[in-house]
Amino acid sequence: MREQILEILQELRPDVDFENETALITDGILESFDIVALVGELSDAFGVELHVADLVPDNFNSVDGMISLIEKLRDDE
Amino acid sequence: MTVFTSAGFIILFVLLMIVYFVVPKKAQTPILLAFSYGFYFMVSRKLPVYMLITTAVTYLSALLLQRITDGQKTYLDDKKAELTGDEKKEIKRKFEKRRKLVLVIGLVINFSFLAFFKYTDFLLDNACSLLANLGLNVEHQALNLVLPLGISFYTFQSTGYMIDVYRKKVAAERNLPKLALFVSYFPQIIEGPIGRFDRLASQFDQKHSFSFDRLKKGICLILWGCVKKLIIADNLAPLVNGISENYSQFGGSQILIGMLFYGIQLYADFSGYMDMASGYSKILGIEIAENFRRPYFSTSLAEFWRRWHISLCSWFKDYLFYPVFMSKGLMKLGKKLRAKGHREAAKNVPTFISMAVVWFLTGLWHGACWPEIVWGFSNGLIMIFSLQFAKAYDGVNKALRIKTDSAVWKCFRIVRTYLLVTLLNFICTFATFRDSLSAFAIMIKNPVPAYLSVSYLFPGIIDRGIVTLAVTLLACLTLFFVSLYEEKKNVLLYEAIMKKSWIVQGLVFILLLFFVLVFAVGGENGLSGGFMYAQF
Repeated sequence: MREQILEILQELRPDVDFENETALITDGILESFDIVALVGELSDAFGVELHVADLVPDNFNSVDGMISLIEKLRDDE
Repeated sequence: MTVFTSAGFIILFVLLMIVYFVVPKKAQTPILLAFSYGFYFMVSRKLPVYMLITTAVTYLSALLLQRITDGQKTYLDDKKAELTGDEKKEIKRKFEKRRKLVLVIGLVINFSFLAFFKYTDFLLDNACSLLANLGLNVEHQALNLVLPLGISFYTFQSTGYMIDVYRKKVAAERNLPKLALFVSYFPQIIEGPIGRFDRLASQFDQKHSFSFDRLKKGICLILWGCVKKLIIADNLAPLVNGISENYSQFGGSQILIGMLFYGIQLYADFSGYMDMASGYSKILGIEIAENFRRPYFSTSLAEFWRRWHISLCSWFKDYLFYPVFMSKGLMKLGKKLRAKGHREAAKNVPTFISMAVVWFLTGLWHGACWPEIVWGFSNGLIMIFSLQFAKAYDGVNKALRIKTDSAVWKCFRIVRTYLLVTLLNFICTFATFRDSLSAFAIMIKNPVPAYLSVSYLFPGIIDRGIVTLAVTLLACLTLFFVSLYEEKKNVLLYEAIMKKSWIVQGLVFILLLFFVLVFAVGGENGLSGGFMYAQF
């Protein structure tokens, strides 16, 4: 899953070091336009349905946060 | 005189400070609440009836939402072993439906006051025009409703809290005085910022003791806010207002100068208020949300809107842009386009539709008139255009071998953004569209000054004397260099000064006080008007 997410992120923003960044939202590295693009890509790639309530910094600050979110969404379904 | 600089308010605030820091912790919130309601009455001369209703609706809706959420959890925990996966889903759906109903009712009630006071005349005008076009002449008298003080700000703040409870981001507040204080907190009731419950209300729970350090910082911020508001904004007002109200009597270069100064006036007025509000709140130990981050150093319009009126823009992002984008219809549209291989369109089309909705409503928020709506929509269109053609711009830059990381290129982009913001201001600064177009035409036809005299270049301010003009321009330059320093060092200057020796601190304090007392309070501006954003 990690590699797939990294691939999506690299395509979206090639200028960011996603392996090591842990404050993508808090530090303003990812903007709202990136977030909405990411939502569509993650929904399709992992077959999960994201909700507005999932759009909190903890879920998108790092790749680990995104993995936890997808796993949680899969468990809920 | 603005409320934050009136002698009456300052005396009352000193009395509040004395009582606030002496009483035990549990009395601090009720005291702030009583002061906030007193402040509301003092400024608006009206009882805060609508604010009380909004508080009650927000309080009850949030509690009900919490009750349904807790009820769902308890029910599912109790029946965990008996229920199948599908049955659990069905129960969750039922509870979700109830929660949505409560939220919608709460939102409709709270927004209906805002809609009634702000948009009734606008809607009636447009309905009558529409009927007249259809051959039905219906006349109506303008109601000219007076907007309750701060209604846009406290309505947005309260509804944001309700949505946060609905999204389970925060738990509903059971302590009514605390919630009432969150809605009515006096430093932000006139012009915001629009606070978030988790960041603002959590500070009401803490014991706040007197701090000399905070007092120094707070006074420094208040004085700096006074310089911005009373020296820059209020002195630029006759120049800008004179030109926008009687543009046909001015030359093209004067209109250009007036519009360039309008951006500075608006920023000095609005951010000056924010500095004063932050300063008073800081003294009490409560940090309010950041509303400006040197917006005129932005290199694009999108960045400008991330740094100007931050609390409103982030409200629209979290509570409107994301929900519209993630609505079932747009998510389906994105999915369909991706399935057909149109990946770029799948990303852009739902984003652009969401942006169009947000910017239409941002315009409407700024004023119940078509120029404001067109202004908002134009902002959105320019940003959509920039996103759509971002790759093409990069291609052009590469073809022209432009060093996009150079300081010169960055300066060019900053100036371009300021000019773009100025150009957009043309839409809503004049009385009608026709006036905006006429003023723009005069400016374009004759942009070179006819005379290089002070009275020609600075009409309006010069009537207040050459010293006032010189001090205003000096204050503008100081604002620019302070902002440049903060931008380069990424620190706030007043914070940096507070780390220097007491001699430096004392000198800055005396200098600020001198300028404010001599050129603002003691001068002609002692009778200056209210804040520009207070009409929202």
